[in-house]
Amino acid sequence: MDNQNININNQQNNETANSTEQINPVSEPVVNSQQPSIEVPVPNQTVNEEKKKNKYVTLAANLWMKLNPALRKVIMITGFIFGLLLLLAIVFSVSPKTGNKVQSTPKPNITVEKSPLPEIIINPSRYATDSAVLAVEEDLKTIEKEIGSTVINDLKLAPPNLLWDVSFED
Amino acid sequence: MKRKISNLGVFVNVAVLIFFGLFLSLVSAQEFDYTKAYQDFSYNLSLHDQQKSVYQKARSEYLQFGTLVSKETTKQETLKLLLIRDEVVKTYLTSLRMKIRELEGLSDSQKEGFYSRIDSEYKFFEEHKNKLSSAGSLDDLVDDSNEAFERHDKSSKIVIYYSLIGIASGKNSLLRIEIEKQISELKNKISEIRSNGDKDVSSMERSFTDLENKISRSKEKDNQALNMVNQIKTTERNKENIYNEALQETQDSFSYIKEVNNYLLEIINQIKTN
Repeated sequence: MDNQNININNQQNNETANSTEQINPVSEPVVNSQQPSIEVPVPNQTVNEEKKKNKYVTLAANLWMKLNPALRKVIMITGFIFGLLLLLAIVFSVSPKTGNKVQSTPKPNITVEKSPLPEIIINPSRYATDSAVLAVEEDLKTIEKEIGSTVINDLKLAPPNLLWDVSFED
Repeated sequence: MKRKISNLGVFVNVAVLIFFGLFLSLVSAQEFDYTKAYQDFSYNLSLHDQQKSVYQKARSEYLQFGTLVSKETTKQETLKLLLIRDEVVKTYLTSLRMKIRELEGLSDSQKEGFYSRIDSEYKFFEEHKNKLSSAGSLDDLVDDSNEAFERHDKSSKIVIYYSLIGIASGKNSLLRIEIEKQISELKNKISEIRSNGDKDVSSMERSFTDLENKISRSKEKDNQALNMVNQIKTTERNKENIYNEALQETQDSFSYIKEVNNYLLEIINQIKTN
C-alpha cells in the first residue's frame, strides 16, 4: 500500500515537472540573434496552486453534472430564493428606519418662544399656591381640553347609505 | 429516487416560502384596531357606491331592451352589488365593535353586551354573503336582497343605533369618572380649609350638592338614551327618529358635564382668592 502511494507521488512529481515545461514555454526562440535567450524562472509553488484550484473546479463541475437534473433544479431554485431573502434582509437593515432618520446638523434655534403670561391673581388667598389646589386645577384644565375635543355625535360613524331597493319592476 | 428528490424539492420550497411569508409579515406587522377597521369600511363603501352605478346602468338597459344578454349582465352586476353591500355592513359592524373595544368609559360587562349583539348581526351577513353565489336566477337574487333588507331594517338597525348611543354614553361616562374624582379631592380640600377656619367656604360646600345633582342628571340622560334605543321594536317605522331623540339625550348629558367642569374651575378661583 505504501509503495503504491510512493509510486503515485513519484508519478505526480514527474507529471508536474512535465506540465511545467508544457504550460510555461519560457525559453524564447533565438531569431538571428546572438544574444543569449533569457529564461524567466517560474516558481513551482504557483503552478501547483493553480493546478490545485483547477482540480477543485473540475471536481465540483463533475459532481454537479453527476447530480440528478431534478435535484439540480431544486438546488438552483432554493439558492435563488435564499439569495433574494438575503438581499431583502440587507435592504431592510440598511434602509433608514422612520424613527431613526439621519438628521442634519441642528441649526441654532432662532425662534423665540413666547412663555405663557403668568396668571395674575388679584388679592390672593394663602391657598393660591397650595399644591393640592394647583393639582386639582391642572387636572380640571386637562378635562376641559378633553371636553373641547370630544365629539358626541361622531358623523364619521354614521350608518352608511346603502342601496337596499333591488327590484326589476318599473 | 426521482420522485423522492422532487418531494424533497417541494418540501424545501414550501419551507422557504413559509419563511419568506413570516419574514414579510414581521416587516409589515400592523395591529388591527379601530383605525384599520374604519379604513376597511370606507374602502368597501366606496366600492359599493361604484357598483351601485354599474348596477343601475345594467338594470335600466335590461328594463329597456329585455334581451337575454342584458338579463345575464344584470344578474352578474346585481350579484356583485349584493356581495359588496353585505361586506359594507360587515365592515361597518366591525368598526363599531372596535370603537367600543377601545372606549375606556364602558365596563367589560357592558362591552360584552354590545359585542354579542353586533356579532349576531355580523354572522347573519357573513352567511348571507356566502350563499349569494349559489343564486340561480335574477329572481333568486331579488329574494336574497329582500332577505338582507328585512334583517337590516328589523334587527341590524337597532343594534347599530344601540351601539352608537353606547359609544356616545361611553365618552360621557369617561369624562364623568374623571370629574367625580376631582369633586372628591376638592371636597376634601374644602373641608380642610373649613377646619383651618381662615376662609369662608360655606357657599362652596353648598354648591357641591348642585354639582353632584348635575352629575346624576348626566348619568340619567345617558341611561335614558340607551333605554330608548334598546326598546325600539322591530316593527317600529321611525327608528331613526327615536335614535335622534336618544342622541339628543346624550348631548344634554354632555352639556351637564361641561357645566360641572366649568363650575369646579370657578370654585378653584374662589379658593385662590380672598
